[in-house]
Amino acid sequence: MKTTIEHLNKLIEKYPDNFVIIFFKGGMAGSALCRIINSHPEFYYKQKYLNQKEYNDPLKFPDLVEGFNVQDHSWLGFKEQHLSCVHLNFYTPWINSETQKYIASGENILEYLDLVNKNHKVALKTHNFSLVPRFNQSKRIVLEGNYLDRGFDHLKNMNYEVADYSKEDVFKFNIQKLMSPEYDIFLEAYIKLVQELNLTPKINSVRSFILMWLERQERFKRTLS
Amino acid sequence: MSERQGRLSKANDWDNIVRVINKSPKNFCIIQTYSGFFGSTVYRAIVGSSTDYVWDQSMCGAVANEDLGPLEWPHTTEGYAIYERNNDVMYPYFKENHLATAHISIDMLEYTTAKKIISKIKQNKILLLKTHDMTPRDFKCKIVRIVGSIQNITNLNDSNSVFRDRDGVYIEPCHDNNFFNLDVEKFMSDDYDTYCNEYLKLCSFLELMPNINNVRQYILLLKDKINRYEKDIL
Repeated sequence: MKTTIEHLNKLIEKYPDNFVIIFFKGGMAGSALCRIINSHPEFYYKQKYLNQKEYNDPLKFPDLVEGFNVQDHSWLGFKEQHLSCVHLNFYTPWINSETQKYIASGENILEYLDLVNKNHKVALKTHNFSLVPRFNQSKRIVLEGNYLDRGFDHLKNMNYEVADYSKEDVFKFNIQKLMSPEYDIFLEAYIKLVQELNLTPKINSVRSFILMWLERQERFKRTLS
Repeated sequence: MSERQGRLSKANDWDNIVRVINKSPKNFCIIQTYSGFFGSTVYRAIVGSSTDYVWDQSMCGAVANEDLGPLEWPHTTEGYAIYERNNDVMYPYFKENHLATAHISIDMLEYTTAKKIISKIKQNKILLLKTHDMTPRDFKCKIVRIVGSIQNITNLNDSNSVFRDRDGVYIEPCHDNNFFNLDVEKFMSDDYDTYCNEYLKLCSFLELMPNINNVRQYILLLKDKINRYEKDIL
């Protein structure tokens, strides 16, 4: 029997403490946040999910190629994905369709079972906000703020709006502040994240990753978009 | 750790050092850098670009007991271990020393001995050495000479900066065959392409496989720290 997404949903409901779920719309650096969270010692990752083969560290960019591996994507081309995105090839089990029956391509429920068995904790991410109420036993992060200025054509002149989840006990997080070029703004946002998730801070590693991410957005906007 | 700028005092084990290095120049490389000219950053960039170079925990500059790679920042402290001036005399500027530098823990060429150098040699590895003396031409190994000016890299020239107050200092290139002149302003540039061109020239001279992203990531954080130091902490 092929594994359905419902198997994973039930697993998350049964073991809510092993999962943190990031809810965000495309272009809002959800993968960057997922890398940042999973890089902390309280969380778990495998190098094979990092979309590069050189470094066993979610916060390091590959050196043999310019950027991370690209994936099938509905609205991002090669340039955007390879040069300015930091996509992972795991941690995104849900596709966006409401009628989704199966776990997303590339995902493997056995891996999730394994990490639950070993009591590892991971951050997952999804654009599917309809799942917010369902996973109310897990820590849920809803990304707020304005769209990040990344030079993506389809996001130009669009407002970033998410529904009001004030009745849900979600952690509303302004990703723009975390990805700020200003150190103090970054630090305040990062410390909030650290406190919310009980992380051991890795300020230098996270900051250097974000600075590199920011530079890549600027390079993309200036010369390649 | 000790560091001092100025001309080399050849009263130490100098002749033996020259003999050791020139006996097997392929196993050595020297960074010739004026103090404050990002010599440690260049050191880290070179060693972080190739496993052919000697690197161990004792060199990584960590304050705590961390075993850091050459392009890795400490995880348990803000910055690296501070430099002492000499003879256990501390610089009076802890903040800059700790927050805005990329210090490594190696003896400068002018303060080491041939015996110490030999103890660091590893088979089939290249030992990268560093000197603040900009004059010697005694060596047959490859020498990376950091040239130009740091005036436009930092705004610390008018400050009390110990490490970066180098107003008016301009290091001329050397055109000997075994020298590579690394333009420090280009290497530390805010502009990615400028950085990349200079770094690739360095890689070409030393026959390194470029690690463009990770070296850049390291430099960006160092510059972020220097900017914070200039703006907020000074």
